[in-house]
Amino acid sequence: MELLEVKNITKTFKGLVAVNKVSFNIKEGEIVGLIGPNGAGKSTVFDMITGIRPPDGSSPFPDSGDIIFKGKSIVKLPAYIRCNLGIGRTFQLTKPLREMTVFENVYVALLFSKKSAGNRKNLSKTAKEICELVSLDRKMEELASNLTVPDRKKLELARALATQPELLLLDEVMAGLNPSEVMEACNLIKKIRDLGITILVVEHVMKAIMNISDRIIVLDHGIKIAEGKPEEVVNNQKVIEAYLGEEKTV
Amino acid sequence: MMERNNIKKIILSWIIIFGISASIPLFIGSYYIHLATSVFIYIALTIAIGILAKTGQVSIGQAAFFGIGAYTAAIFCKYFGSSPFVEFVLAGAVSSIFALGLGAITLRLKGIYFSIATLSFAETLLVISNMERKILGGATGIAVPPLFDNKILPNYYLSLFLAFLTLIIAYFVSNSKIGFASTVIRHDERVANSIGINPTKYKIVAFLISAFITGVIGAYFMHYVTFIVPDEVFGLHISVAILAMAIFGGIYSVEGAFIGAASLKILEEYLRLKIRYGHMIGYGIILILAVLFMPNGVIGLLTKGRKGFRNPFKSIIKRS
Repeated sequence: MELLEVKNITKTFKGLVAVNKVSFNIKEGEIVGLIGPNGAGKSTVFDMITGIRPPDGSSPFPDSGDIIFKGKSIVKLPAYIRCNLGIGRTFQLTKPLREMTVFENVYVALLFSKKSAGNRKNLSKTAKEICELVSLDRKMEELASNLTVPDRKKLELARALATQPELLLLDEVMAGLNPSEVMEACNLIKKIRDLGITILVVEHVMKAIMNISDRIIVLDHGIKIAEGKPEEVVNNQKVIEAYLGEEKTV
Repeated sequence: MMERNNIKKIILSWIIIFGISASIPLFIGSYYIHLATSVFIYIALTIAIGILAKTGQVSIGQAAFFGIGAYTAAIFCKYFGSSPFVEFVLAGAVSSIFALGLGAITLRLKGIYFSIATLSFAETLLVISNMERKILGGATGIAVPPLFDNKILPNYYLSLFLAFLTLIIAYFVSNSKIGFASTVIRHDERVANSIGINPTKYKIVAFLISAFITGVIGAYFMHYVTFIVPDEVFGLHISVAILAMAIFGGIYSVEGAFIGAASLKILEEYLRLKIRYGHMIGYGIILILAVLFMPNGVIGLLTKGRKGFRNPFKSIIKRS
């Protein structure tokens, strides 16, 4: 079943077309990679799906097109409702709630999750389980501001998981990690998928995205230039051109 | 939050403070009892502004709700002869209704814009109450009969009760969904949205609670002084005093509000007695130094130790 359908979304910023008639679908249980050079429009697509305002405060709604989640159009809904419907996300620049501990960061997200309507004891238990899942269980009582970069990425992931999403959007969770940490993150993402959560991931670390994605969508200058299995996409002429430039005969 | 603090210790220390406050009238004269009463009034007001400040929105117009509360109580007392305690609730409710209207329009604004809107709201009410003679009495004010036949002790205990009730409400709010949401919203509205929190809704709710408490205290103040003129309740000095106390104590914590209000009110009174002319200059200097050296307030010094202290000249020296 299609979990998310993006239909012909277009977004312009002051005359500059950031995303131009992009369409794609995500099936339940898939890991889909979204790649493209800098400025390709990946983050804009992310913001339009989650409805969260970009840092500059501009509107997160597309100029035209539709976004359908579980058969319902969500394109005009505010971000927090989309979250309640089951769309979770992480931020590229990690945003831990610095004055709270790791545990509290996760706990707060659980508290406002629509699906965790239960007493607070249950929430604590679930929060601990999520910390264990992302292997932050040893640092639960540490203040979020004291975490290292890889741990902040994990916390970002844990907080998004705590909203109990069906679709999880990961915005460059592997940027700034060393190769062994990248492998760890890949395994974690697969583990999350095995829990029944569909994942859309934006990533610059090509090796990682080739490894985990079932399907890859390539954007360049706001246009979808390719879509398919990882091995198909890497050999696609258009994709190579977008990343490396056109081949010129001298 | 809840998990980190030792709840038993906190409750115990508040019971001790309450006990001391309740027994001091036995040892002090009426002048000091009046001083303590006004300290409790300001403690409640400061805790109330803190509930809103936790969402990251700073109101410079708390006097508006203080005044609305006071005038609501006066009007109901004068024209309907209602019981004072019904008035307290009515005063809070009317303040909240005004806050709802103001908040719905302005709480979508960020930071300083909201502050300016609240400031102008209070100033507008000051002008209106000065001009309106028939019901509000204009600049000559409005009078009501005193509570408890103007006996000093019952008044003192009522203010004590109101201050501690506010304190308890503030603790409950900060450990409820509203408190958690406020912290997240203050920190980052994008994160708030991403975990399913509706920022505008929680900001308005915090504003309503804050206005309700401020209104009730306004009504109490009206009965305590028995006679008010517009400038006394709607004046900018009230809003600024509340804000200064909150910042001095530590704006995001209930304990900070308590410490800030108590210490600044007593300091102000002490300076007034010691320096006949220009005592506010001394008060101002102390405030400036406090903000420069301890940006997190007194509570920052107490909880973070040396980290709560900042050398304001360090960055200047580095830059030059």
